[in-house]
Amino acid sequence: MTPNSSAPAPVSRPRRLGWGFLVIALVVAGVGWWSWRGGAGDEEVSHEPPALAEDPKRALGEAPSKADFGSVAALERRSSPGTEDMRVSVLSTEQRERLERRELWAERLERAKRTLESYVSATRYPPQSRSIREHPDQVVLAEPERTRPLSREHADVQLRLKQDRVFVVRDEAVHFFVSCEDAQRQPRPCQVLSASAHEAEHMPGAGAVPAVPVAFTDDGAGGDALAGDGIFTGRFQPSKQGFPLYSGTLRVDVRVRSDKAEGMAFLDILYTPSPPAAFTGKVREVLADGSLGLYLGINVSKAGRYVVAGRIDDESGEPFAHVSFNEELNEGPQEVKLTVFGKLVLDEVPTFPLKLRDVEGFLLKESGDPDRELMTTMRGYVHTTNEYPPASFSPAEWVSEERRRYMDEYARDVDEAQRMLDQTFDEEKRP
Amino acid sequence: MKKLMGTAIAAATLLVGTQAAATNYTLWIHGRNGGGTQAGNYGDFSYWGPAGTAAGVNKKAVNWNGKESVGNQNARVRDALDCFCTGNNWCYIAAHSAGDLQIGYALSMYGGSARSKKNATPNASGVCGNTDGSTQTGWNIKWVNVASGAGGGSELADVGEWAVNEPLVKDLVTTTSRALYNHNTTRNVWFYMFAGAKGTLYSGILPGQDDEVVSYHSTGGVSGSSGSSQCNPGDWFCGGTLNTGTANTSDGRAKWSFHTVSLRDDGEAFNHYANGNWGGIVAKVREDVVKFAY
Repeated sequence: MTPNSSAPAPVSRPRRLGWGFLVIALVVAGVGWWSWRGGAGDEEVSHEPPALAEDPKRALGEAPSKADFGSVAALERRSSPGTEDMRVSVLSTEQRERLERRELWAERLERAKRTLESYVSATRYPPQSRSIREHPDQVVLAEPERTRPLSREHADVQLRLKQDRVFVVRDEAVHFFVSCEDAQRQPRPCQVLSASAHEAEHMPGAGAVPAVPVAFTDDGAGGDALAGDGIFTGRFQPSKQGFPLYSGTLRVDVRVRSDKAEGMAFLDILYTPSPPAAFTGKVREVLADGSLGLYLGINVSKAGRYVVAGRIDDESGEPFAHVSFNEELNEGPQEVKLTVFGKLVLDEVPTFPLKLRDVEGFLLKESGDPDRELMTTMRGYVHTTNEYPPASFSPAEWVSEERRRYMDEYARDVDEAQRMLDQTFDEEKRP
Repeated sequence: MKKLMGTAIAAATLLVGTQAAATNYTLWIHGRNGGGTQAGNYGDFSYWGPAGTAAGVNKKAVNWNGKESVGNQNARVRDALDCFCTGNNWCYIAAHSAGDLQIGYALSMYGGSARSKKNATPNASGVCGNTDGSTQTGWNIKWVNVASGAGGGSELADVGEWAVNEPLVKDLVTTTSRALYNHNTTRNVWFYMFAGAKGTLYSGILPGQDDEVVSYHSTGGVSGSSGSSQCNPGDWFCGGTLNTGTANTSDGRAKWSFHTVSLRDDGEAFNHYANGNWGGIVAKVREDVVKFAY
């Protein structure tokens, strides 16, 4: 079977004969299993096959299954007394052992085939240029929001905690939002009694810099959206509030009271005071090899591996693609290439011009804590492309040594599993 | 013609020779612990259970300091991947708890980087020698099995239930875990998620179903910048039902790409703990690994 082929391998005559035998055995075993299962109670483990992603256009296709080889399900319960008795009466030890091997290799074959098919389908596009549907939590920049009990003693009072960013750079400020809810998730009055920012406890030398108070208000000012709505807002600007040189995790502790209940919570950010590189804001676009390359200007002051990601919307603002870059850059003026892959454009048919937005990046360190130095994110739309007719783009799939290597290996797995499965049928023909 | 045939046979022989040298390995990446495992000793299975237990072909224990941050310790994981999963060798990966963060981070951050092909012969530090000096893009990984994955963090870290001065605990804060790397970028390698639900002690803290350490939103690979409340079917007090496979949760949350739920613990039978004997949800992953890692 070639890696590009999705057709099932031909079924050999011995296999057909063998399957006939297997079906008879399975029917017998299945009756035993069915009668056993009736009194055994609920299954603890789900044997549902992995389902298709809800959106049929999602490029991943179906996950390789490990438990959907329904025809052999009965054999899996070989320890059931009923099954054992029935099969012992029908099959010799050798036959039973062969059937178990057959079941095993059938399952392995099924999985190997699906793994191959899935991989071939998913790698039509390169990893750095994918449908935005494959990045469901990357469509917008992270603004995490969570709830937690106010305290162990007052688990019925829920704190709702939100922050408008996780990564903070240079003079940027982060806004935190704190409110309370009752057990039915309805708003409940509360107030922030105090809040302070400090170096996260795990950092070496933490505590050397004293904690800095952070004001939380519900007065409609300083980033608070609406006065008296029960949502307290705190604004924290590390560079101006005690941490101009600190790099790493900063933690803001908040003490909250709701009626007589009182508790503590914290919110974390990662702060970089001096970014290792800066986007220039200039974007150059080049149509080459059937794909659109967006070259982002970047001034690198610290060489190393840079991880950059952006989102591409179509003309109407509908999210279309997730584009990324993960390569080493030298010091000095450089360019980061974000690729809008040709086949992705042809398959998804976005309306032009496309718009690049929310580009974030960081210098990734091989080791250390923090493991990165952040760049200032370019929020909002960064660049609008020219308009290109479909003929400008190539329908060719992604080609790379990596893809070839994986497809070859997965194809070998299919071949091996098929061979081993066939072998169990061949053995039956021997005298 | 003769010369052509000879060349073809030679090439085929070479290919067979190359294939004969190929070896599959099963790498076990553990989670948070007291830091007691021997980093670089691929035979130390003390985190998991008896080393003699079947756990996939050519099993190796990928040990790291289970108290330190992911960024600080990920090089240990990358060393193992370089050792056993480059060149002609291929790997099956099994991970537990924060081991999910480790392999997810490695693939997302370094899965497309140039890796030196290694000889699968580690030194005392767990680093292997180069083969021919050549490199390849990323590693050779067939799939990843995850027992109680903490890729989405745990609320036990959020509320200070664990030592706040432990670097790994900082990474396990749900919002931090989920921002640490793009979980959808697995280099097209599938993560099979095994989610346990035998948790009671922290039900007031861990949302939805949990295995006493990690909730379904993480163990089921549910995407988002923060956690959510996910349960088994029929539970009315949850935000949604964790569907098996790649399907969205019933309240519409997508799984991370290339993540599929292989086991949802409807019977609430499996807790988080390996318990030094391949126990809890690890037992189900081991069972699966034995079947499919060959």
